Amino acid sequence: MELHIFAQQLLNGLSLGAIYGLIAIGYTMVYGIIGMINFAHGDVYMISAYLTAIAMSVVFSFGVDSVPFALLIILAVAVLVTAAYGWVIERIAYRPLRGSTRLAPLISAIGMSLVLQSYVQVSQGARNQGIPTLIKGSLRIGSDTKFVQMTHIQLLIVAVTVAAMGALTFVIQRTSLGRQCRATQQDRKMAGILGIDTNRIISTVFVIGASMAAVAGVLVTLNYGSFDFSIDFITGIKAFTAAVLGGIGSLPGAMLGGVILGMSEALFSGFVNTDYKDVFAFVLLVVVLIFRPSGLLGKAEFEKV
Amino acid sequence: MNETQGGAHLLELQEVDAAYGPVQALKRVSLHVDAGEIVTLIGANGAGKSTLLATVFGEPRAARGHIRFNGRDITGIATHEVAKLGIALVPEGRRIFSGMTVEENLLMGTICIGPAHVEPDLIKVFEMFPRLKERLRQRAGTLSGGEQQMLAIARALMGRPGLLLLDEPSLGLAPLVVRQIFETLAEIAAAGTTVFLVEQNANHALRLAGRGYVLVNGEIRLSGTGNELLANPEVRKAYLGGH
Ligand SMILES: Nc1ncnc2c1ncn2[C@@H]1O[C@H](COP(=O)(O)OP(=O)(O)O)[C@@H](O)[C@H]1O
Ligand SMILES: [Mg+2]
Repeated sequence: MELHIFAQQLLNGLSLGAIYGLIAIGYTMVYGIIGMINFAHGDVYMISAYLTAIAMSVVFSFGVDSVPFALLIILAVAVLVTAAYGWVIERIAYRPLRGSTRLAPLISAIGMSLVLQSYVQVSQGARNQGIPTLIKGSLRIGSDTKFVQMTHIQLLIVAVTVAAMGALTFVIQRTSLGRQCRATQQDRKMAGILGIDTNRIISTVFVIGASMAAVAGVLVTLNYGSFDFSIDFITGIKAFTAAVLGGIGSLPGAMLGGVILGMSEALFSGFVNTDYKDVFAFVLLVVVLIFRPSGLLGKAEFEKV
Repeated sequence: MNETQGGAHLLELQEVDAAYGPVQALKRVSLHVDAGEIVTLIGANGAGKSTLLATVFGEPRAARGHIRFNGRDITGIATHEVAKLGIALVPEGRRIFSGMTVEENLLMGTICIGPAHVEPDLIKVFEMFPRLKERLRQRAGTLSGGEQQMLAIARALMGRPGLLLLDEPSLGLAPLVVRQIFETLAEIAAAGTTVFLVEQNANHALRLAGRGYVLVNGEIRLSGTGNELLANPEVRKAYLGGH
């Protein structure tokens, strides 16, 4: 095994892991605030991939020829519309069940996931969708025979993820909205008594989670150029694995879990077996759930009252 | 902040029932608190004291009867709207946000009025509780029980409430700390905040309060001035250790 090949796999894993981490944020924040796994979250991500393709064709039909400008518009459209989906899903599938059994919203979540999948399949067709490559080229470091490289889009993925995480961390740690989210997560009843509209905060968390998934959807679509309505399941499970690995309920845990999963998956497919790389995440999920169900960073984050 | 409209009580419960499913916790409870008073409600464990305070915030909702604040019927309003009217609760068990810093906990108290008065109000609560100033950046979960109680009271005061509700603030604290807390409550009342204090510690509470009520099995059994209740044989027997 040569070092540069190993390093190359880690770099590939980094951009992959950034995507898992972005999606994992939605799982972890929703779990943190209402104690429920939002099984429709992977579908929200899938919707953002379609929105990326739709927004792209609209933007180019208007004759926009600046790529950065086009990307900004695509990102804005995908994030806004996906966030609206997140908001609506919470309103119609989860809020009416608040205060009922623990199982009810779970079933509602699975139902919501099927609805979204079928809806996209019917409205967009089951065919694989493709988009043109917008960002070409790569950055290469090393000699002619021994080098590591990252494509420009991989670099963009890492940069945008770092920016999105930085912005989210700032909001959660430093703003009043963030404090209200944390308070609602820790003790919803007390938060209400202090004057926090906890329903609004829960909606906000769904919107934040959907927005992050939308950022991931745009980046992945730009990277791979093609997708279909079934991407939600595999990617959703992997992002969920990342959230559990990092410690569900923990924001830094989601990012850490994403990067660890991305890197170990890349190493696995590079050095062991490519065909089983998807199985790898499932096995990891099971192992974590058995041996460390609270994950790497998930312990003192919140004590439910 | 404390003026009543048209001579109405600051807080009034009229024939209030409340229940948790089949468990009826309050039965036809009527009481009132006027602006500027210190009023206490004493009762044994399970009498329904915490439920009474919780119904003011609509959790659980009063199943019948009326709750009025400054003459306005607030029986049906949303929990988060109650704080905006100027009612603050220091709940049983304090319920501070243990994962947040002391400072962040104090800021949570200002959600109902916005951030406009944070600076001067922080100075005021630090005068009252100097310990909190020393521990400002510490995680609230690392505070001692007494400090957590001070934080819960300070958090409530940060919202500039006209009416402060307290649920057994002396619970589980050392006698010296309990004395401090009660002295602080007297200060708070003297500064113009109306206080409604729920306690099992009847001795302290009745000495502090101008008036009191006795709650037994969800019903108001007795009421009177603090001194009347302190002298009442039934109260002495049940709540003051019988001597
Ligand atoms: N969340 C709840 N669910 C069901 N019953 C409750 C709940 N909270 C309190 N109760 C019941 O209501 C009654 C009054 O309780 P509570 O108001 O907590 O009394 P106190 O504060 O005086 O000790 C008790 O019988 C108690 O068991
Ligand atoms: Mg109680």
